[in-house]
Amino acid sequence: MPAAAPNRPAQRRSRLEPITAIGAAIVLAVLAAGIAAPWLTPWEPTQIDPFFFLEGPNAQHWFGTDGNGMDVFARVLYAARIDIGIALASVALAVVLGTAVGLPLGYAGGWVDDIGMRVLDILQAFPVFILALAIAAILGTSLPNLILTIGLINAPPYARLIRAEVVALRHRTFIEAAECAGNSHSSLMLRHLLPNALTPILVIAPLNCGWAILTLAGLSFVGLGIPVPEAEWGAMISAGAADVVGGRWWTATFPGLALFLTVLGFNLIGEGLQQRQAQR
Amino acid sequence: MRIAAFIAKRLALLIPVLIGVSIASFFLIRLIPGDPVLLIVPETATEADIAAARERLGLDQPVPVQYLRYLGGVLQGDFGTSIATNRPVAMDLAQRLPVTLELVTLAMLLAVAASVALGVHAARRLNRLGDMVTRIGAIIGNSLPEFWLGIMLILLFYQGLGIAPAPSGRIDSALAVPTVTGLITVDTLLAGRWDSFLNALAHLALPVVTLAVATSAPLIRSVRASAIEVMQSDNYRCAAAHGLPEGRLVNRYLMRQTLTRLPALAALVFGNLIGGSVLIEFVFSWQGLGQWALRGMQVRDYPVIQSFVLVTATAYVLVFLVADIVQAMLDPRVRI
Repeated sequence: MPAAAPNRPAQRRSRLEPITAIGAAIVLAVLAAGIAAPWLTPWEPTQIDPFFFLEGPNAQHWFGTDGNGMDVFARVLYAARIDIGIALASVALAVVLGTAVGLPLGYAGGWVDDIGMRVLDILQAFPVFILALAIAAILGTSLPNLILTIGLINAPPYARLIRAEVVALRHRTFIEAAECAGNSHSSLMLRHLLPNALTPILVIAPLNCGWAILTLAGLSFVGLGIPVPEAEWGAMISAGAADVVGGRWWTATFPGLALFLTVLGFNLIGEGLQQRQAQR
Repeated sequence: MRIAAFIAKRLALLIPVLIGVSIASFFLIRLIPGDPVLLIVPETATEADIAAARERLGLDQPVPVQYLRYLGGVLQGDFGTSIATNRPVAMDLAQRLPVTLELVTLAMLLAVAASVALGVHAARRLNRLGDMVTRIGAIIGNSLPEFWLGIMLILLFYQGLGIAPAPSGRIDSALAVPTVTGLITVDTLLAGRWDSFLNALAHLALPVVTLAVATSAPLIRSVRASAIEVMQSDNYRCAAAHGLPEGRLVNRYLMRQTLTRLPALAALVFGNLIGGSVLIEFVFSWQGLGQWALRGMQVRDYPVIQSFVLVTATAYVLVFLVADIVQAMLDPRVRI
């Protein structure tokens, strides 16, 4: 149809990259499975089946049971809630913290900016996961503390990104016009600079969600995250690690697959968004 | 001469960062609300015990004085005493640091070698099968939890195929050799025990491969992107158009320019490796720094946590310094 031709480039631009769509489908499917868990399995995540300890996958227990006689399939499903939930909450916190630091730094410039950037340099001199371990060990591992820990360690890159954008925008004509029109500092920052500085953040946020889930699972794996018997992928893999040596492969394998798949989903979304941004 | 000036400048920049790192790790354990002494003394301690502990640990002094004392101690190699074991932290550090460094260094070498080979291979077959497989592999590697990958490799190579040794440390106890350097590969060779050396290598294989796979994705991508850029440059296309032999073209024109950006990224990967090594040591019962620090974290042994954070951050900063210097040697533009 010739009439449709002029619209084509616009349509193409608004369409998602295929890998973004695949990634989003994976993440949504895992999330949906977590939410719909009560309808997908008759077992509760911490319910003990006294007749089945460490049984392999069978008709009653699709993914087998763990050393406590809990159903691995139910636990893998329910764990999606806590893993994705904490990841999203901590990334949201990291974005807010990063913005709260980066926006004023970029806006103020001068020595305030210099000092702020040196402090960020020092924070980023620590290997990220080690900082996560240390903060989690010191704060203690309640749910809010875990979100705080993962949010804190992920905030510095956001602060940098926002600051860099703000510095680039600060002396653009439309900002100076807004300044001349008598806008206050806070209005300039929040209403004029912030909305224009958000794009790079939206691109790295999905990658960051994947990393946040890996961090949470890693912390739980070594006993500094979600405690057993709560259903969480890292803690389940940790409990199953000892079973592997006895040939009981299912307790560690299935939660690991779910964890891998979810992180892969977030990474594919991020990859697609990055490619799209690079094309512009 | 200019490279010497560059190194001097970088060293001078290092000092404020290291001071900042020491301040941050000093204040890290003060994140906890409340009195740190109460976390150190046993629960049965009386008022007098608490006051005595406070004085012994210097916690009755103002905070800046406490920090300066701490820094002075660290500079003299005194990292305090473990609350849980009562051993000097410096002794444990000296014993365990080589164990972890050996693991991390081997993983780093493997990751860099594999990334260069794969990244350049992918760039030379841009958008063809080899490139697609490498890119998909990098995304998968980036998404794999390293501790789970380690367990799956144990399942396959130890439990299933029976060709890897049990995941229980660095060497079979029957083949153990006296510790000299702390590096098991070096110690076995120093002892002249070929059988022990091979056994140590077999124990190293799975943890090293696990760490390398889990951390090489960003390296592969960066090498691929740089190589593509080089291959599209006038310089390279001109050399190719002249009909230079394949080997010369790849070694002299492609590799050298591609590798100039590698050191900085490799330093970044070192940070991930040292973080990941905590998890991998846990999986393979590797008695290194990570296992030691983890035990300290589980019982909130503050001097241990503090020293671990300080030592790993210092190592990370030093690796960045080395990377900067190597980069300046490879690429003269950086020195300006």
